[in-house]
Amino acid sequence: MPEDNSSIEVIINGFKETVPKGASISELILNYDEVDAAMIVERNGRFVYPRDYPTTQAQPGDVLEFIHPDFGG
Amino acid sequence: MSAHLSTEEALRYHRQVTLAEIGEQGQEKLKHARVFLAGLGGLGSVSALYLAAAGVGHLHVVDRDRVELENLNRQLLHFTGDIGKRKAESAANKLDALNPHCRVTAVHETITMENGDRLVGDAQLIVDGTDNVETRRILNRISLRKGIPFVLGGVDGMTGMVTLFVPGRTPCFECLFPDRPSAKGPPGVLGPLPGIIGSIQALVAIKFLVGLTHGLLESRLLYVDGIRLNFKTIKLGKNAQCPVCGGNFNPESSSHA
Repeated sequence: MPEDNSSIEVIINGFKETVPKGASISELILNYDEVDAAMIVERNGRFVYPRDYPTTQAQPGDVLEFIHPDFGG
Repeated sequence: MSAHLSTEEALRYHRQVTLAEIGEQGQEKLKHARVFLAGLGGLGSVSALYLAAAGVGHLHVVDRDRVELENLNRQLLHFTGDIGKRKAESAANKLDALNPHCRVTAVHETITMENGDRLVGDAQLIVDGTDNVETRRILNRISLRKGIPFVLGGVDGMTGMVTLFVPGRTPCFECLFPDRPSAKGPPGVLGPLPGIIGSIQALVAIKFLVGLTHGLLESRLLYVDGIRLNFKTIKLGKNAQCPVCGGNFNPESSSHA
């Protein structure tokens, strides 16, 4: 879907994606089926704390990474 | 030769003592250092070897498991002949043989909230070689309660992560991971990944112990992707709503070495 007034382009896990303008991290997580209670979300090189997922809106050009944390040893 | 290092020690550590960053003073600090290492699996094997080899004076290691055949693709402290032995005992034997100047206290015990303070004792640093979130939560609480920095490491499959938590200066483990992850079986893992992560943990530990406080992975999570062979760091801000530490820290404070 090309970018228009109601959507923006972001990079998610290395791929260019068109997502709704104003989409929160929570919504993007659900959209990309990346549900894991202890997931790492990186936005433009910074760690996003889980409590901020609902209130953090993706901005055009954001680089997002959804990362499964490593708890093995 | 230092008045405090024997001729044998001076030669043993020569190649690191010649580094301006270490020097005889740094080596003396290592000689008097006390490190608590939790877990002697893939991560702990490698960090223990490097810490002992580097001349850490007292290494206090704890693991509750016995050596199994399926450990041996990555847990380099344990050999085929050790199968069935306590990992603590197997580790102590190898570390003693590697460097008799390193006093190793090895304990076969499960780390709990009840015994954690006693086990960690007067260590200056906690190094994580565990394989589960629950023990890391316990180590995190002990780290905060005692004000001891905590070098986190973890691996899963072809990726791994490392960071240094310093009470009063950085977020804590539970700032980052307030929720328990969904239960999964033991992850697959390729030996070099815990090797890389355990080595970086040992590097962070040595730097901390000798006082090289610049570039210690404070408030940065190093993430290693073994598929793309890419290393990156993710900046960690404050989590003021952390139920454990309250995000109450100042990155500019100088509460550690």
